[in-house]
Amino acid sequence: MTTKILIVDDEPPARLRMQQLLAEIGAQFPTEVVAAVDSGKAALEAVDRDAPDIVLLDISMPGMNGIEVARHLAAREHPPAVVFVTAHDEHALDAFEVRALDYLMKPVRADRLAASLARARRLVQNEPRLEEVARALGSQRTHLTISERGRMSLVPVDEIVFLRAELKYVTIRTPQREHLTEESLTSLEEEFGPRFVRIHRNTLVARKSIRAFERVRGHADGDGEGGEGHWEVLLKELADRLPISRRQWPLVKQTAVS
Amino acid sequence: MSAKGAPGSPASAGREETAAPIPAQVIPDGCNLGVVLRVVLAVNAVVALAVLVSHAGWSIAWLRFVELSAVLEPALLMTLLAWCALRRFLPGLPLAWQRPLAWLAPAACTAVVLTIVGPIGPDLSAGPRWAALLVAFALGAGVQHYFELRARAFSPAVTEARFQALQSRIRPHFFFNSLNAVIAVVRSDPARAERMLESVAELFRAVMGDVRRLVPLEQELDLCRQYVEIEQTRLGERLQVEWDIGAVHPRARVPQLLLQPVIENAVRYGAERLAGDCRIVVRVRQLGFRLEIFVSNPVAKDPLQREGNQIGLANIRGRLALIYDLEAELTTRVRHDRFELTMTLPVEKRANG
Repeated sequence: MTTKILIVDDEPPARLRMQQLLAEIGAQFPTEVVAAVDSGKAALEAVDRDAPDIVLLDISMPGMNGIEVARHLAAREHPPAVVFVTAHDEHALDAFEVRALDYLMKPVRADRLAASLARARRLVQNEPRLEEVARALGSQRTHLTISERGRMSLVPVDEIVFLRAELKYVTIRTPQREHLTEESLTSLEEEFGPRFVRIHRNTLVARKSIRAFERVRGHADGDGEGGEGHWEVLLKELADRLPISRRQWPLVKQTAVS
Repeated sequence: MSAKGAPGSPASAGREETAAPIPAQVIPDGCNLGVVLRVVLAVNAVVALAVLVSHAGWSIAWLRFVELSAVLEPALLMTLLAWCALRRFLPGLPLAWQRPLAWLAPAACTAVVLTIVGPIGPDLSAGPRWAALLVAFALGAGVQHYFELRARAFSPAVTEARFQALQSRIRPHFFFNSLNAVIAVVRSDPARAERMLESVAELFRAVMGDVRRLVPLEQELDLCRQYVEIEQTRLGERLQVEWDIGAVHPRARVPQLLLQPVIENAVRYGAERLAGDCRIVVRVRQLGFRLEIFVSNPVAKDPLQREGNQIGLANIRGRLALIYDLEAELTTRVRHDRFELTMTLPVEKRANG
């Protein structure tokens, strides 16, 4: 049976070279290249459209890098196997070695490629190890994967105005609409660090979206914070007013000054 | 090569084109901007302090200092010119003659100035005329001694080690990607593969050479064009470089690998990190006796993603400081989501500067 392959690399000669190599090993390892794309986003679309068995994924690409692509893929129901390809990236390779993720070094040799493909067909890169690699490299995603009515979509992290933990989910608010994710607020805060400020036990606000802080007088029927009143965040993109908890206020004030 | 970098190592041969000479001259270079600035500031500071401790009250001391300046500044500038001339016209003088000449020059200049401005000049009643000459002699000796020590601190062995540390390197990521690109086109476009390998070889030759070597500007620009060609093969059409090279003196020289790492930096942060087209602008102009090199590239809108853009530049700053001291300048800024770098350096670097 021929294996369906997706090639992802931002450099045209590198894509060409990979196709040459696959043709070379065709006799012992028959493959069919379903697509060769130049960016992480195009890769995710191609996976949904062409359902490849194996993705040959370049690590350093502008925008969404290979590690992020793999993380988004791992969130899918039937993820393809991933083989990372890289020219040279000491940190990434150390992290890969430790967690036994498969990778190829450019220039790639035909026999190594065949061996990797044979291995990849047997096992799928698993998500926890991938997350560990990402954490070890301090690699941030540029998008969050959202699953809505069985479809996968991407929300650019740049567009997020605030994140709020509800009972079971975290609400992602962009200027246009709301999304839900199962990721925890804590892990999101850890990954995106300085981009967001925690203003409340259940809320993270994008630093760039904060327009002003306003003091609100406490009501007699206060919500527990009452009496002296509390502060609220006013946003640039939305009319929502987000309460700042008394515990977070000193920290928020400090970060706002700096 | 030996790790100790002892003088007499192979790198010290054929030195006439390099910019860190063995100090064969110990007269301070009065035409070097760095020397001029240091001397003018230091001598004025010493005289100002001396006036301050010998006069009660700020205002009297200030008036006295202004008065003295009428002699001090012309004498100072004349001394610098004299030093400059002595260095230029008597380069082969034995060191034993150079030192006393350098010490006597300030006193001689002071004497000339005093004779000219004497009748209308400041009242030097604080001491007889020979006292002023003695002060000039002492300051001259001090300044000469400082610059000689400084030149020794930058002696070949020490400078060698510093330059070794600043030696350029080929980024492995670029190297392996380029080889991969060459392999990819070897069958379909052998001519192009040949050209690329030749360019890679040229780059290697430059990188392995002495970073102090001064080369004609045109040669460095050629190397940059070859580098860009490799990158364009690799990255495709989204990398565009706009060359805007003005008329420059044909003898203009720059340190080898001065511009290439700057362009490499621009490719790295403009094209490798950012999706979409990347337009890099390279502009070279001659302004009087100075060369202005400007390079700009797009950067991430998000300041959080911009960090790192400066790292590759520390090396270039270090080399400029070692070769040109204060006579070269490197500034950077971010404007309209573009990173802009401007370097200015003397058009021609004299070998004994």
